Amino acid sequence: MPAYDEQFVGKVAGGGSSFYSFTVTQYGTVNITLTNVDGAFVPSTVTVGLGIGVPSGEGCATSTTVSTKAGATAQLTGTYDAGVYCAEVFDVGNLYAPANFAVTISYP
Amino acid sequence: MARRLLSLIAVIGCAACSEPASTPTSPSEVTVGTQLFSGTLPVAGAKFYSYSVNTGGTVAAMLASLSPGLGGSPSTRVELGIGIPAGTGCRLLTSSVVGPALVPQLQLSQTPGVYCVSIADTGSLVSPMAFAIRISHP
Repeated sequence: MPAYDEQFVGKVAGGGSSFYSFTVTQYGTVNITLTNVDGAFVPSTVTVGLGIGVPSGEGCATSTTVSTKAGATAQLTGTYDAGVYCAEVFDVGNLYAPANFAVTISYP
Repeated sequence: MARRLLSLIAVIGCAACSEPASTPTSPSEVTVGTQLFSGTLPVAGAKFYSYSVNTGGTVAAMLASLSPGLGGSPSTRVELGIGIPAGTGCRLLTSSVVGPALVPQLQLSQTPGVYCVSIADTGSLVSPMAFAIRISHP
């Protein structure tokens, strides 16, 4: 049962990415939900990339990714050991203007 | 004669056949990894670099260079820190305001995990500065 919820709000440019680090305190389920995408010239139904991985260098080395639209249900779910992880939002080629996004990360 | 010579070659050639294959042994010392984090630090900005520690031990960070741009001072000092990636930054466990040097300026004992090194302007930059940080970790 996830014990922590964090909100990751940011902006991703065309061809760009943005990531957020969090610490899983014990083995369990991590849910990542892209709840909103918007912006000028950015349709709310646009598909972007969503990933989970480990912070590495100046970025997030993702191990699992999906291409998804914003929604209320977790688009990425998995079980993970305790440790530091990162959630990343990235353009998959659909953004022609910077997009604002909101992601909810739930973890034990 | 030829048959005897061939037999001799076969015996010599196979002298090591009955010996057990030597098994490589693992080194007992801890392997130290070195990583270089370089970039440009903007005025009032901060940057961080994440790395993984596989074996517990001491991590050292050194601001190896800090190059002033136009109007910059060679005596400029910045905040160098070691911490844990958190949110969109690096949550510091230890830090120090330093200038470039060729000795470790921060050392911290760390257990296996993911950590980060951070560099931040404390208000002394008047223009972006190029930097290089050397990170040594087990």
